[in-house]
Amino acid sequence: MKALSRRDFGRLVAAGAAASALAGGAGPAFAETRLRYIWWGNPDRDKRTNATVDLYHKKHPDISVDRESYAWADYWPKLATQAAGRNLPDVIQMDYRYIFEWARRGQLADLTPMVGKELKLDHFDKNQLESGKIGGKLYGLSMGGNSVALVYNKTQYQKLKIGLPDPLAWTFDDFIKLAKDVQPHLPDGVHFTANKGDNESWLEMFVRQRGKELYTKDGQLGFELDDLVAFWTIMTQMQKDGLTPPPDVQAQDTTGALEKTMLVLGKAITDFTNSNQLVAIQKLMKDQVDLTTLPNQEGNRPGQYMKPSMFISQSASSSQPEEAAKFLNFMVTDVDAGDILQIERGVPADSEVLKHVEPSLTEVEQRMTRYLTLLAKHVGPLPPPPPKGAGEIQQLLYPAYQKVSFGRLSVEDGARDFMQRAKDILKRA
Amino acid sequence: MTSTVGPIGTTASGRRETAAPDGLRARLARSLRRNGPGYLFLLPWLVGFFGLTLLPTVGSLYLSFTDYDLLNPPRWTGTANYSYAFFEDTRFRSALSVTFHYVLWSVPLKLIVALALAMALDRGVRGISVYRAVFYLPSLLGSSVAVAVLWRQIFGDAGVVNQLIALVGLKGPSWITHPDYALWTLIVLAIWQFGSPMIIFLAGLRQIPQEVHEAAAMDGAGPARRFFRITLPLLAPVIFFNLVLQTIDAFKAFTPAFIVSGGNGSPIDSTLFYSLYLYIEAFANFRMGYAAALAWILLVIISIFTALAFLTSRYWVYYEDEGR
Amino acid sequence: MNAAAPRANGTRRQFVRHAILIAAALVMIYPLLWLISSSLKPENLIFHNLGLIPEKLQLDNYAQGWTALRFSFGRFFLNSFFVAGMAVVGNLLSCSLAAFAFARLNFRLKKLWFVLMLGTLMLPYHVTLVPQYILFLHLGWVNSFLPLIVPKFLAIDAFFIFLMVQFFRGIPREIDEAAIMDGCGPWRIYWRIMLPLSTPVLATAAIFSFIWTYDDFLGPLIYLNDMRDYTVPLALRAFVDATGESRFGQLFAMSTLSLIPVFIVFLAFQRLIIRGVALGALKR
Repeated sequence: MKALSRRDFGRLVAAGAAASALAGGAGPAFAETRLRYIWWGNPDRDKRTNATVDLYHKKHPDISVDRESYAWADYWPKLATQAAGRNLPDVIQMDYRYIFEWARRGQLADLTPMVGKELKLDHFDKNQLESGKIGGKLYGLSMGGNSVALVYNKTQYQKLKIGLPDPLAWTFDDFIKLAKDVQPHLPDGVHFTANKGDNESWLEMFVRQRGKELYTKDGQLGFELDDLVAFWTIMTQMQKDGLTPPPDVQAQDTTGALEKTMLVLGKAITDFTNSNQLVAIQKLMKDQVDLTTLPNQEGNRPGQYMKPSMFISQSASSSQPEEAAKFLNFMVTDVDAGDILQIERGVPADSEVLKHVEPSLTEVEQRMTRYLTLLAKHVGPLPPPPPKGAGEIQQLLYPAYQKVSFGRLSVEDGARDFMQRAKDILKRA
Repeated sequence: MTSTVGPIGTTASGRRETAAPDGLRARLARSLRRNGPGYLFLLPWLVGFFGLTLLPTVGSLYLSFTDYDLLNPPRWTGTANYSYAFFEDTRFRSALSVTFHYVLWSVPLKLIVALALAMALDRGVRGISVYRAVFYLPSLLGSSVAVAVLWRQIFGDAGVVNQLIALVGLKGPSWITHPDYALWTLIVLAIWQFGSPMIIFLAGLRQIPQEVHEAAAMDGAGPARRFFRITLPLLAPVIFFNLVLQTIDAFKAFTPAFIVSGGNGSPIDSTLFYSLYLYIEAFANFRMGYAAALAWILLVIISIFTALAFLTSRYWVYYEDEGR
Repeated sequence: MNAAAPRANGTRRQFVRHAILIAAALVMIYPLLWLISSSLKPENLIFHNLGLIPEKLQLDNYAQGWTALRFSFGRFFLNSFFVAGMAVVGNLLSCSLAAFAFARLNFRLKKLWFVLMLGTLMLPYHVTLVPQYILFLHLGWVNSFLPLIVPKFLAIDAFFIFLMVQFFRGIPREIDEAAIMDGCGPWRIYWRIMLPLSTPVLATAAIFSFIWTYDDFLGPLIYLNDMRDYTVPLALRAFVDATGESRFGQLFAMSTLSLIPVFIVFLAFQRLIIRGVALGALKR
């Protein structure tokens, strides 16, 4: 056995020893404090994050941070297993849809006691700070602000010599009219827009424009059957009119992978996205892309809001909460860290960091900040924190809308079916 | 089999009855002598079985009667999980139907392809080892993430299949994301990875003596007749072995749906394999108790199918060392 | 059958046979050829250009993919080889011990154990996942290779026991009997007679354990935390992220590389596999 690979075997034993030392709460000899930090990402984000952690090591030689990074799909089962084993890392990247679920299940630490001490949040955007709170307790710090957006193929629009209406006031009627103007000029198989009737953020924006919310403060569904029917009626009508791709083509895009979006695939010249993804989308496209706001409804009530793209949180079971909090603080408020992270996770919430980062942004990144600056004039308040089971309902929306778009159910029946299932999930959660 | 000496570690079993009752110590010593070596050899497996399989399995049986969200201690709920599955959960039903569909189509088709190619490769083909390796290649790819992209490349709306269809002037749908066909693309994937059963068939074919074929050919039996009268019956034990193992595997299938369909059973749950649903319930929806119940239901279903296979096997599987 | 021209007939037959086989082989490996050819294309051309022959050959994806993550793929390959290698050793040892007991020794409750052993074949993997994780965590093994390796030393994979039992049964008892006459104990019979006579089935088990362990990603995903310890499939998954920019060219390049070791193993030992299976699993 030793002859097989002595070095690996030695490391294996060392790794085992380190793990048991961690489980026992004792620190190993070569670093006084050891933290574990877990995030999801892609190679680019991993590189930036790793460089930031290396910088932290340089600044704090007595602290070592073990990194664990996964792709989105693997991240959640991994985290769930670790939580089941009471073995969560000290510092955890969290998604807006799941943070409250994890907080309610008692897995995340309340950061409030650290504010003003380890966490120096004087320059932190108030709204962004608020977005990590539930019941007055702070469970995560926004790693960057973003918002939903329409992303469009600017090159194609310019070729067609068609301009976009006023982004702050245009309506769904304008949207559909634009679609009908554009569609005849597009080649076969290319459509005006992707059909995102299955997208929770689209739906949220839609019901907020009607003065509703996805969820009420007490964790019930915050919209009615009529709202969903209205939304899906628009979407399915556009599909029938050929303004969006047929359902089997659209169904390629249900996992959120950018490569499978209609825009990147060249099936549509408009799509729905999160603003911080513009840079990644541009990398996948030859044509130039840009962002604009979503169409409005009667009364022009803003449906969009500034949303944290992701949070950095601390596990409730961390044995060194102060050290973990210092690391959190570094990640979101240190200008040198900001230099490395830039706006890959969204626009930094700390104004000092943002000021520091802005001059070095690339042209594509500036398109994104320009969009957010424009949008800032037309955003609503933060929605109430989603209840337990919200993640499951988000997933339910895909098959529910597909039943309608594939014509298996009428819009009304499909919407009724979805409402019933969503209520069941909330009851069971 | 006619051996005169009993298996090692035991004396002829007859002695047990004739032995006079003696002291406890002597009996123990004899029992140890008789059983000791067997258990010694079995020891690693026993440790693994009790520690790594039985204990967790019993643990999950207990969990199946609880409400357990992975994060808080389990809460006893009796048979609530089971009754929810059987009487209320429509996704459970569709997952079952998807899985049955998958098993019933993919297993026979995969075995037929594997057998056909094994026979084509069986004797006298030059370069057999190259063919064999090429046919095994897809199986080596296993469940790599690359498979997902490849399958989209073939069955997507601009994929190879549709390009072929376009040659005759038709337009195919996006097979992989159409609720009527998505499952079929996964069945094709299963068939594509037919390497292991093919290898096993090849080995089985090699067991059939060439003389039997030659004798039959002398008697004027054509290829079809020889296949049905000689190859199939003589190959029955191998077919049975493959059938049972492939069926079990197909029931447990998880990665094809997880990787190719993006892990959410899309579109409209048409690729929601049972194991995938179980996994979603456990790790995405935090219903470990319910997932444990689902796992036990699956275990019972697989057991029934395996038992059925064994029961019917006596009518169609003949072993050479039996009754001949 | 035309007896007058058996040779011509035979050649034509051979020709048709090869034509069918080659056609089948092409269909079979078209996706793999596409994979390899895509790994040689620039990222932005992969999905726009469906032809197999790249317009411009470039190895950038390989060079960049090799070092795209925090550790180089060399490290991941070493990890994979180590885990798969230990799995081979573990499976061969523990499964052959158990198989020998089932095939040749007699002891109480043997039938019961045998049935239970076969029963574990049917167990869905997810049944034991969480309880096992908690167990390994208490042992302090999480974040090491131990949870991936130790179970193999405890004969967790019933398939191999089953395969070996079938094989051992095919070895004539007369050989053991002669050895018993010479005063050999069970251990010597196992080590000196059974194992040397069983190279085909041992090779088969070794290759399948290697390939299956090498391909596994759920186990490493659950148990390995540090990227330093990642195996190849886990590292490949790190290339794809649903919420940001993935790098398919590099993914394809590394996927292609990841196939090479298993393919070589398979090529080198395929003769042994066939023999192993032939003499083993199929007899009763």
